Amino acid sequence: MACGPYYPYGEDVRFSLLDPSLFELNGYEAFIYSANGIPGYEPEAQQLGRAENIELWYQWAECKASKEDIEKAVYQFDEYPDLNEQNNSFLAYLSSKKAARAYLKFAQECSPFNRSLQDPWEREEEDVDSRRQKRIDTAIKRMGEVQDLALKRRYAFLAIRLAYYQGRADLVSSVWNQLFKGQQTKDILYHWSLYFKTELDPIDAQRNLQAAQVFVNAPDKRFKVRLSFDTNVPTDMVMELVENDQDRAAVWLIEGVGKQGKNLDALKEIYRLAPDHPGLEFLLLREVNKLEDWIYTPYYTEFYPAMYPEDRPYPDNTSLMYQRLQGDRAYAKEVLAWVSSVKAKKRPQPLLWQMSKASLLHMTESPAKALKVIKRIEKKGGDDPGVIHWVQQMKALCLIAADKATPASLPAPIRYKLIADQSGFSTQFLFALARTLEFKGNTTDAAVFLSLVNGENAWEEGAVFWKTKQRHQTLYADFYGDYFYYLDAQYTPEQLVAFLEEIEAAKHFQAPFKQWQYDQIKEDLPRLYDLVGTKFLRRDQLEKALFYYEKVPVGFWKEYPFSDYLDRNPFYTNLYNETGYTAADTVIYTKPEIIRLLLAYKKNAADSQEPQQDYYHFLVANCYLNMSYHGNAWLMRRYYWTIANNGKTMLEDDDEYLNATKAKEYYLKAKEVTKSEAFAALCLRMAGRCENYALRNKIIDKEGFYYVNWNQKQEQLLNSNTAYAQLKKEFPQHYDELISNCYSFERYFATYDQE
Amino acid sequence: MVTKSLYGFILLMVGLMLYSCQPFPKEVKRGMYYWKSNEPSLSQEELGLLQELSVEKLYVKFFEVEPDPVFSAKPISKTRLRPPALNLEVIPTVFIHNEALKDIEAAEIDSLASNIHFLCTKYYHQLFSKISPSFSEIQLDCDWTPTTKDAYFQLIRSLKQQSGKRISCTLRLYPYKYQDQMGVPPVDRVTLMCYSLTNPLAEEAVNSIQDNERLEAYLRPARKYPIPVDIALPLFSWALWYQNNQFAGILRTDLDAFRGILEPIQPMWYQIQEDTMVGASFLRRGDKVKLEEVSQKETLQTLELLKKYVHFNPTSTITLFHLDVQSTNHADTEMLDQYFTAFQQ
Repeated sequence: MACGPYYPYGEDVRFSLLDPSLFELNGYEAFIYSANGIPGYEPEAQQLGRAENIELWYQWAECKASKEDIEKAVYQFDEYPDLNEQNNSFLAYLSSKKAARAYLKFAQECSPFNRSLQDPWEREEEDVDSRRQKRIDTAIKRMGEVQDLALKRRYAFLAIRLAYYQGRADLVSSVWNQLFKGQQTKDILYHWSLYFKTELDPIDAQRNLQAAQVFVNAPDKRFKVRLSFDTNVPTDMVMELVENDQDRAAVWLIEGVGKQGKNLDALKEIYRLAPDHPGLEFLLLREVNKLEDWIYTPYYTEFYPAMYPEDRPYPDNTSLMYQRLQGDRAYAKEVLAWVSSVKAKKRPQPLLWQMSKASLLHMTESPAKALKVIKRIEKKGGDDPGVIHWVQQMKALCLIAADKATPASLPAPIRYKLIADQSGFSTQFLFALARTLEFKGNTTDAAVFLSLVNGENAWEEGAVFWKTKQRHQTLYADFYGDYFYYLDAQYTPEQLVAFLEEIEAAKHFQAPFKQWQYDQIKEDLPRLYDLVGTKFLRRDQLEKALFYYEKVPVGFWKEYPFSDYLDRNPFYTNLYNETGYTAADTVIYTKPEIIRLLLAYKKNAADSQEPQQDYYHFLVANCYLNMSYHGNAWLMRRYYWTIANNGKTMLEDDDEYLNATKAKEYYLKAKEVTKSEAFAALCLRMAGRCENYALRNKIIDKEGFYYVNWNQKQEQLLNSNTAYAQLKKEFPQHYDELISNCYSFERYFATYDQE
Repeated sequence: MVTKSLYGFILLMVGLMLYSCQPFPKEVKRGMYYWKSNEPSLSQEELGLLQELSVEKLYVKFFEVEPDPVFSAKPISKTRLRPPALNLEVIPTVFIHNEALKDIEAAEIDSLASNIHFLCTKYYHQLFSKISPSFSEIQLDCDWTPTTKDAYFQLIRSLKQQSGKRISCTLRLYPYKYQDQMGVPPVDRVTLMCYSLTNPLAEEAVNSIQDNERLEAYLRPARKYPIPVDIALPLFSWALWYQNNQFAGILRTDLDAFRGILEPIQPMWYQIQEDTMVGASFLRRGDKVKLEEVSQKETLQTLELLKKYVHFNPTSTITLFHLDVQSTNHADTEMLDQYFTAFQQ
């Protein structure tokens, strides 16, 4: 289990819209571009390797047995204990082939020994070794005896494989030299045998070349043999040993499939050397996915790419990220130029080339050109639902990106197609759609689509996380996975009001698209009214804040988080209390009630005829202090409280929230208008408390939150506090008591009533 | 009122004395199983519990035996425990998966016995020699069936012959009751397991760990088993976790750690009130759990039933399953002490 809070990285942030599973991967699926490293799961590759062996048997049996029956007899005999000559055409064919029957039986007996085994009983006896050695000896003996060359090669392969697990490089070499070395027949048996030989060979250029040959020709050994390919061996040395273009292409490929950096050279070379190479399509797909990570991830989410070939860990430097983004777009243009030079129609998977081209055009900010390619893809039709969805998604993104109007909007025909196939959209697409609209000035539609992102699946696999450009940190860290908190951080009150008006109007919409769009949000209306009210409060526009708070049903304020965090009297505080319980907390208020009272108290405070003008100033100051980071009603300004980042959120009222500037202002006003000496002294003490917060924050900014030694700072804090200096100067008789005695507040506050 | 109660109590005691005609053990040895595989040492709490309860015999699972295509049978889940010097006897205990005996050839049984003896001896000397230089008993734990009975009994005989040690084995209630069908293992002693009588997932309303009604059905009528009988009592709890009414796993943890988020819905069954991590399991609001706990009161009743129906030798061992402070659920050591002294009362 991880320690500490969750922070997205790797696959959780990698952005991709071109799904590799839409294409034929030719057994290279283990090398799909992924931050999880090489997954090692390669069912297609395994099946391809097996199919080649079945084909060999099929040819050997003069095509007289079905491939299904061969597979059952060779690979699935455990699952079909009733296999016999009557129900299996391959076994029937073998009925007169004694040597082949003996081979199959022997191969099955050898099967448990084809793994690294140690004696689990720890007797340190060489029981397993001796049992395996017996089988190696038998395989070599029969290899020499059997007449049929095909069986001879099969026994040789069995001997090589067993000898590999036995760690007998000498036997592997000798059998290899006898049966396979220099042979023209390079079938799957040849490459399987070469794999085991390669694994035991010393690391050098020859070994890398063999690994490349195995990599291309033995699909089921790809994952493992790639690990044996040593990238420290200079490629030039390997190329010197190569005798043909196919092998040269193989070296480019095995090197390319694991490369984190740019790989266009490999693509070009493979295409030049072996245009029909089945690995070429895969390598192109991998390069497009890589560019999606480099370009889409920072562009849409503001996270660094999930994988980048240099600079780990990434510096916290957004301008560097944007610089790289430009550089990566330039590289995408290079890849695009090469893709455009290849005739897609003549490739085995034309769609892969066309879709790659459209993606690259979109990534390189040429949406209008991308739309033309998409149109061609669409025209050709095809009924693959994955491709149909991709077309709709890319079309929507490109149409908005290409829209010259500001704000951009989503054309109506696209809207209806989107809703018709809503279940097929990826979360990343919906997010990209929202971000594209946002970047093109349509913050209302952006918020609507953002509300559909993650939803109930937030925090689960497939969720999208993103940051604001300003790196707001209104939650425990600087990222978002929920539209509401993003709107809290990013949207202006005006943008939110426009969004709310759209939702309110949407109540009357009958169109299915609108109903779908607003399905999620309409439940959130009270939260959104609260949010917009809070945004106006942050600007101290209290009447507007109240207007929106009053739209919220009363019951809403009784629920979490208000029930837990707005459960204190915001008009009361003392010298030391922040969020703790006080005797005054018998009275609690909802957000609108607080604002109504605050407005009333401010009105009284501003009235010079008001006999308790000083008292009302004091209450207003208390409320502002309590609505700050340091008070019991912080929920008025924020939706999350944390010491992370010292409470800094990058919201527009951070100064007020952290330094309680308005509270100080009102305490000082109270001091100005009061006629009570003791109360005036108390007002200065409270203003000094606010100033103290501001001074502390300055020190933290300078020295860092975790590095300040507060014991050494007490004197500095006291001496630089102007309000305390004023208290000492004007009311020296009260100074010590108010500064040193935490419990003096109640006594001083009580003097107000007495006087 | 007082007189009436006293009269009733005397009648009950007399009744019990008349009814409890089976011989009790005069001396009870205190035992504990240690069943964890991955722990290299005993925790302070575990050491404290052993000391407080004056445990004399610690049955440590050394490994399990499962079938294997190459080795016929192989050991897994090997112990790593290396306890400090303790004043008790360690009994190497080996759990044998019944499947390991299904297709074993007669010739391989001696080899398996030899391997078991070899590995027990090796681990004992490597890990437990601080406690005493050698051991005198090996216990086998196996849910044998009529089809594996012969192989299992042959294994026991072979192990006894090759090791020269005392061999004991665990005994489920089914073979205890149905001796004709299940045979009597050729061991020196058996440990009767008085818990886990049913499949945990089989019956919603039944506590699969502890069910005295079923226990009594197995014990009745009173009898003398041909071999000296020790007993094992449960000392663990678990929560069976269900998501969307589908069994999702067993939570072997300190149940108190998440009791606060449970709302009772029927006896033993609770609903999760808020999303919570329990160990590596993510329990979601609305999931259900069945808490199967061992009640001390019921365990004392178990002991009463054993006194009533089982014929004991003068010296018997009572062993608690198992030493794990997480699943013992903060057991009250004074109450646990009563389990060991119940036969003397």
